[in-house]
This record gives sequence, structure tokens and C-alpha cells, in this order.
Amino acid sequence: MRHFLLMLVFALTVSIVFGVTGRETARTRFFYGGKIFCEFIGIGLLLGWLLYWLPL
Amino acid sequence: MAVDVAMNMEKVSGRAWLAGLLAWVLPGSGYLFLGRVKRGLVLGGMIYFLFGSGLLLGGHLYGLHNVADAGLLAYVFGLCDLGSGLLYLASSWGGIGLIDQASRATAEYGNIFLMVAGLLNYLLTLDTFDLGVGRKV
Repeated sequence: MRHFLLMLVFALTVSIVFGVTGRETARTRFFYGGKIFCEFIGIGLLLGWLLYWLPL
Repeated sequence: MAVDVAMNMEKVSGRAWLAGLLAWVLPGSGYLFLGRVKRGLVLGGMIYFLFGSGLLLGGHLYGLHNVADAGLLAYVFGLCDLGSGLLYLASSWGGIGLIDQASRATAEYGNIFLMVAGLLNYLLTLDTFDLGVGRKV
């Protein structure tokens, strides 16, 4: 649970920075930041499950 | 007329370079220098938050020299950490966050938080410079 929480904090912080620097208006910043946040979480979970099934 | 334009460009350029330098030295201060207070507080705050969290999680700062456990990658990690500017230099001189706490479960997260704080501050430095030059509004 702690790992997931840290992933959320990391994704939120980085997506805020990317959102503010990458777009001009409040609306586009919100959607761009939200997209990056969802991508971080989605890809993180996907990689997590892929690694779970790999016999490493 | 041409002389006026050239002088203005010189002024703008100097202001942009100073803003960029400030942005690297003290995260967020470049925006404050350019009068973008809200942007500076939000984005600078994110860097301080990531850096502080990284230290609290047990991360450590890499120096700009070869380290036995990381090899040549230590240079890369050190350059990432250096992006935090004065935060990195003050911590290094003050002996804060220099010891590897690998036994802590969150130490690797801490290392990543510290490096990403530096990398994001490089991005903010370029963003501040662009704002100073007038490439962005």
C-alpha cells in the first residue's frame, strides 16, 4: 500500500509540473496534467502486474 | 531604430539569463523574478516537496564522482541531483542525505524523488528562460 501511495504522490507532483509548463490555459493544463497522471498510474499498474507474473 | 531594437534584445536577453540562473539556484525564484508569483510558488513548491520527501524517504544525494556501488552511473545520478541547485549544494555541504540508507524499504523511492526533483528543476530553468526571452507567455 505504501508503494502505491508513493506512486500516486510522485505521479501527482510530476503531472502538476508538466501540466503547468506544457499548456497555456487552466482548462488545457488540467486535462493535460490529468492525462499524464492517468498514464503514470496506468502504466505503473500494468508493469507491476507484468512483473508479478514473470518468474524473476 | 535598429540600435534601439538591439539594445532591447540585449536587455531582454540579460534578464532571461538572470532569471534562468536564479531558477536553477533556488527553485521557483526565477518565476518570482519575472513577476510570475503564482507559477513560481506552485512549481517551486513541487520541487521543494519532492526534494524534502526524497530525503525523508531515506534517499541519498550522489556526488559528482565515481562510487563503487553505482560505477559510472553515479555521474549521471549526481548530475540529476545537481539540478536542485542550492538545495543540493547546501545539503552536500551540510552533510544531509549523503549516507546511503539501503536497508530502508523506501530508500530507492527517495533516490528517485531526489533525482526527479533535480530533473524537473532543469525543465523549470528552461521554462523560466523561455518566459524571460518571450517565447512563452
